[in-house]
Amino acid sequence: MKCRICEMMKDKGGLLYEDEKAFAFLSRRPAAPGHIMLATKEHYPILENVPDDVISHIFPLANKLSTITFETLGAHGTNIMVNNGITAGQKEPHFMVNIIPRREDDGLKLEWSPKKPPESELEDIHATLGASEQAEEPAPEQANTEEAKDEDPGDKDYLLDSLIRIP
Amino acid sequence: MTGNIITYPYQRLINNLPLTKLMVTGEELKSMSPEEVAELQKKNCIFCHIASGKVPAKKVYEDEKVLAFLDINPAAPGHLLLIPKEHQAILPQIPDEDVAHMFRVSKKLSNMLLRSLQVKGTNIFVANGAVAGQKAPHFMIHIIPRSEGDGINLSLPENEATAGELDESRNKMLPRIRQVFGMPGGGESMEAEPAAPDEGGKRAEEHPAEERIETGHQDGNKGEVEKLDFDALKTLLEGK
Repeated sequence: MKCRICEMMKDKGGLLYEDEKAFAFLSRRPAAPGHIMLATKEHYPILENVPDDVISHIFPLANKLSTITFETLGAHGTNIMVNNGITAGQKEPHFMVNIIPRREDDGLKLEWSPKKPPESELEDIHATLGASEQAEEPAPEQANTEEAKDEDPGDKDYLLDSLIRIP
Repeated sequence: MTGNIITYPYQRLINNLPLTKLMVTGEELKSMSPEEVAELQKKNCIFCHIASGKVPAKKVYEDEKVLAFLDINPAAPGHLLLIPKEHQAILPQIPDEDVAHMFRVSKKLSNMLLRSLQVKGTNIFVANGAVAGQKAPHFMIHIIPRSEGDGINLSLPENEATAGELDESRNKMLPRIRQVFGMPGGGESMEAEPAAPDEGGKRAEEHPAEERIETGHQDGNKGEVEKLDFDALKTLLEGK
């Protein structure tokens, strides 16, 4: 199966930026004018697949590209976002960072209605996460990938499977 | 990649952050130095108080640089906020290594949410500046667990863009991109450029791209031009 993002990289038409690990191009279906997509050269379907050295490279890069939209496109703000999984709005099975220049009254609404949950609910979640975080502590980076495979294939497979179904 | 050489005067972004104008009048704000604005925001910053432990929070991760805790007004159960412990208002102020660290931690936290809450996805979300939805004068990364039908609107609209519009944006950005990343046509002139936080806002609204092209295109590592294949820029430069 061909990945449209990988094809785009090979094609090179319209690239904004390229180095050994990442490349950036303008979205042809932009959320706002100047919407940049910054993708990894290697095909990683979801955030979890992206190695830390690539993460360490790509986000400072996203920061710089975002700042460049302030300078050159007159943006007054930016959103930087990763949609990880179809449910989170991921549209291509290739990890990427969206950089969206924002202007006053641009009509773009990326929002949520904050809900104030009862204290007990926050405590429950905190307990769940706290337990999980502690369990994870002794297993640093290397162990992490394996852990994900061993312990909980469910979530990860769901994310991957659902992405593979993207037409 | 080159270091933090971006000199964009982002003070206007910082001054416009919510709450700042509640603390001082617009006139007072104008007369304040960037350091004074930072001090004012810091003194009144709830997130600094959370980082220092003065204000309690339900922490889920902490190291010497960053802190993650549950948002008390979450978009969805398990919504986390990850902040630098040191007061930083917006992303462009944060050094590369700290940005890298924060996003590595974000990945880890996202993994944790997927596993422990059995959710179907996550959003990693940054709002830079008030117009982008930044609601506090302290930089933060939102990590939001997602489930079907959760009513959160973070899917990106897909607007039509003509080839002409795309080219226009690209042509405005390319010279600066090459300059910042030290690509052919870029220069060290960046670092010599004085950071002028107060005047810069105006400059950005005018035509900074054009303004900087000239400085941009003297020294040429020609070999890289081929490799990088920035067709539009080549056309632009050759056409001059």
